[in-house]
Amino acid sequence: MSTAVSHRCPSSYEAGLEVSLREFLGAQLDRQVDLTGLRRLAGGTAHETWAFDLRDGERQELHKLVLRRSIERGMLDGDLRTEFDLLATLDRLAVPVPRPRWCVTEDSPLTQPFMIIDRVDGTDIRKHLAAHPETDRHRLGVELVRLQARLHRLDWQDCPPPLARSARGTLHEIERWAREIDASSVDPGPLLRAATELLRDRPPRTSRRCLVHGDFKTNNLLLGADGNVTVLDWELAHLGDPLEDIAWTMLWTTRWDLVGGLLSAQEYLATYQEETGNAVDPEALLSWRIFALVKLAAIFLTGVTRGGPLASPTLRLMGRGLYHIEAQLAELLQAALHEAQPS
Amino acid sequence: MTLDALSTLSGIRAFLTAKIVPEVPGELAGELRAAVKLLETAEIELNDRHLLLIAETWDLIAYCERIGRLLELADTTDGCTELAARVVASASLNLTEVGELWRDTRALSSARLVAVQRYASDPSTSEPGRMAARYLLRRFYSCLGDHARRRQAWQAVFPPAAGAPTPRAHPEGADQ
Repeated sequence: MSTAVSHRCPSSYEAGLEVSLREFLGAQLDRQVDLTGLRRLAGGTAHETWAFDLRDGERQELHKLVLRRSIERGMLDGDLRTEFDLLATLDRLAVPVPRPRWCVTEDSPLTQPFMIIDRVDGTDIRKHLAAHPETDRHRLGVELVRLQARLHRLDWQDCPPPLARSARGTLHEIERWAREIDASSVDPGPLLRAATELLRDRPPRTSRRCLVHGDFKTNNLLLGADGNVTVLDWELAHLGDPLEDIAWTMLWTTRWDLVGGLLSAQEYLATYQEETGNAVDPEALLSWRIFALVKLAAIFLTGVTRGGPLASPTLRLMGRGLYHIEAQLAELLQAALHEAQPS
Repeated sequence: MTLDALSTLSGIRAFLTAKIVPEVPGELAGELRAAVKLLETAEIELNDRHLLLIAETWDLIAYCERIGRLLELADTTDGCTELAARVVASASLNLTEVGELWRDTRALSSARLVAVQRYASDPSTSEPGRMAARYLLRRFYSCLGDHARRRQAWQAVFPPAAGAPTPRAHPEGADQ
């Protein structure tokens, strides 16, 4: 959804989309509207993302919008309607998210389910850090942890009913991703098999339930020109343990990431504990970190498998990230063995 | 300049980067850049693949044998002996056959690793048995991690960590 990287791609595909989109928006607003600057934004393995401007001549208004349209055989099976409803709830609770406008999941005039949301001017934090080496990294890091802690403090009962009902326990989540791995055409190898077995045998301890963003990392956080941070990409959001979210954030550790880039792992956890008043149980966190790697592997393998022989180069590159996951798992499984040592 | 496969891949990658990527519009340019990266990692893999996979296969077979002995599995030696025979003949295997051998060994390793994990956490296992299983698990995880780090040079999503092990000239075999 970042507007920083975009491409012009004039084509009949784009022209057809523009016509359908203009007709849809005109019907929704019950007047003629003008649509300009339609361009596909880079990235997206579960949906296409398009930016465009809607000119409402009758009211002399300009709306900067983003269209997110599902991709057939995409990497994830997200529930677009639930995500849209969640965005509406979060917007109402003054959580910094793009304001949702329209969502169509059945009989889509754009051939695939889609949602339209406000476009937030800004740059994703990963790109911002690359372009602004003078950034006060520690300060920004603390701000992001505060934001993540705030999400975890939200009353999950405010969530849309399908999401609130979706909390089916840790074992269910483990089986869900294990099934994705089993369905993959790629052999996951001994370490992933061992990790899945370990999680089944000793599921991560759950301390409390909260709204988990599911993909809280710097390239899903938009730094606006006003200095405010907006949280994007809620397709993996669900109810779960806060440590699940923490463990996922700790997967990404380059110099452009929250952990390793803005704060050390120790600083990250200490700041989170300070913000929430909840101690992080190291043993539970270790289990959630193993779970995060299994889940990431499942997502990567699903992408390659669904793409089939014509899987895109991006999906194939991600699939090869499995070697990194295996290396990480080897270390965490050794640590888990130590944790399980009888005292 | 040579005309071998690796040079050809390298040449195609350079040509795509210089001549085609700038001309391709929109989202496809991103995919083309990803394809160029894949060609680069394929070159690295082709250069190392035979050596690394054979080394890994030797190590995995050794650990599978040790687990088989510890768990007193009926097929302790059968699967491992057959795989070892294929490794001995690996000089005559082409890359596809080496890949099949590696996959077969990984499949046996998956089953053995899960079996020894269960054995280690089974309350009915004797204390010495549990200790032996845990020792074996620690070593096997470590061995698998080392081999995964060596394969990391083949991918471009996550850069290999500094100090990652480099390919070895000779398989060490599992510590016996």
